[in-house]
Order: sequence, then C-alpha cells, then structure tokens
Amino acid sequence: MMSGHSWLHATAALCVGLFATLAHGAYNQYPFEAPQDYLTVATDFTPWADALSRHESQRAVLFSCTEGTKKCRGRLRSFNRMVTKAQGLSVQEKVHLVNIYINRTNYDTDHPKRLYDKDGKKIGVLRNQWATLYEFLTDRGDCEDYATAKYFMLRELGVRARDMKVVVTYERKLRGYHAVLALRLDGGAIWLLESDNQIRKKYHGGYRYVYAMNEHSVWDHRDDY
Amino acid sequence: MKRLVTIICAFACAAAFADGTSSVAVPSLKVKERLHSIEQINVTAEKKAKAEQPQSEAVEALLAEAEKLDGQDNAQPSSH
Repeated sequence: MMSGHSWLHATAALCVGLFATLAHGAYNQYPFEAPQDYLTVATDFTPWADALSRHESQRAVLFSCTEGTKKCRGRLRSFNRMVTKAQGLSVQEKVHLVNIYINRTNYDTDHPKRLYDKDGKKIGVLRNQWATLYEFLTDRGDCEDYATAKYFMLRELGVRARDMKVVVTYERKLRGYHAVLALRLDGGAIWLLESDNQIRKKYHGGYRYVYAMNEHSVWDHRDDY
Repeated sequence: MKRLVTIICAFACAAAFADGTSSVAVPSLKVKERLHSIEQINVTAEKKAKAEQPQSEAVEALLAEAEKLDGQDNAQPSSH
C-alpha cells in the first residue's frame, strides 16, 4: 500500500505529465526527433537528390563573384559578402541573418526556373521542382525555394545538416502546402524559419507536418497514408 | 564454458556487423509509393511578408551592406 505522500507524488507526477502532453499538443512543436517517421535516404527522393547534385556542381560558380568581379548575376555578390563576413557570428545571429537575407529575395511562383551547370551555363528549365541556392539567388523562387536556400546558406555558415530539415507542411490558413526550414539548436530548441520573416521559436501552431528532408534523409510525417 | 560463451558472442557480433550486401539496396515498394505521393504535392502556398524584427548591430550592418550591394548590381547595365 502506498503511503499518503507517495499517492501525492504519484498524483502530482500524473498531473505534470498530463499538462505537458496537452501543452505539447497546443504548441504543436515540430517533431524534429521522429525516428518512426524516417522514410529513406535522400538519394531515393529523385527531385531533391537532383537539386542536391546540382547544388554541389554549382558551388564553384556560386562563389565566383569576388571583390574584383565587375558584374555579378542576381544576388551573388551580396551572398558572397554575407558568407564571408558572417562566419564569426553566433549561431542565432547567423540564423536571423540568413532568414531575413533570403526572405528579401523577390517571390516568384509558377516560374520555370533556369537550370545551370557548374560553369553557370544554362542547361535547361525546371518546373515545380526544388531550386538550388545558385538558381534561387539568380532567378528567384517560391516558398520551398526559400526554405532550401536557407538550408544551403546555413550549411555554408557551418550549421550541421543533421540540425536542419526542409519541412513541407499543410497550412490550414493558406489551404495549401508550404515549406519552412526547421532548425534544432543546442539545448534542443526547435525553430521554424518562415518566408514571412517570422521565426517560430516555441509556438508552432497552424501547421500539419507532411514530410521533411535534408541532404541525408527523408521523413514522412503523415500518419493516415 | 567461458570460452564457449565468448566464441558464441564473437560469432553474434560478427553476424551483426557483417556486410551481407551482395546486392544493391533499393527502396521497398511501400517507400516508393510514399515517395511518389510526396512528389505529387505542389508546394506553392505563399505568405505575405511581415515587418522585419530588429536584430543585433552586427546583423543589421551586414543586411544593410547586402542591400547596398544588391542595389549596385541591379543598377548596372546588362553585359549581354
């Protein structure tokens, strides 16, 4: 038989657990640590794998706009300056910088994105696919391109791939699919970087998480498949 | 007895870490179906930009520098 104090402790623990569960649901925190949602390696998701491959091949031309370059395409000059000078910032400052900097790129939806090879030469056109950082900075993009651009830029600033995911969500208010960048900071805080300049730090309400990926893996958050 | 247990454990560890891949790993059918359904999702919902929040001096300085550089390149006549 439990003593009076033991019952009190058990009841308190139950109440705390119940409150934490309800609070978590209310905050709708993005389930960054969700091993049960792991789907497959990133290379199996063809459109994303293609974007990763193109990004790697374009990295040289991405950084080709140096101090002495007379004319640079799109926002490459400012990008190079940001990456060079932001290396010494704190992680949180880097995140804020990248979020605002990328969000200042003009939005462009349903626009066939030009594809470029490693030398910056146009090789084709993308429709409704994932743009690379180079393609975004030179040719704009829509919401998933903002998220992937932030991902690639933060990688250049030293943020680890395993601490970031490009997350596709269903937004009830927008009645459509939207993409954000999820970032896991030291200490476990999960931030969602939005294209409207907000960074959701605690309250992630309004999202229905669909799937996510980084350069290593793909996660499927749907539970009614 | 100890030797027998050690040998059994060694075999178990070897089996656990053995690279038994004699063929290329391919996604299972269910994974392929899920990937295919993911590919059909059209991610286009746009959000209207809200006001930027004030940042640290270092961040604000870099953003101002970026804005100036973007203005310079956009103002230059095209070389094509």
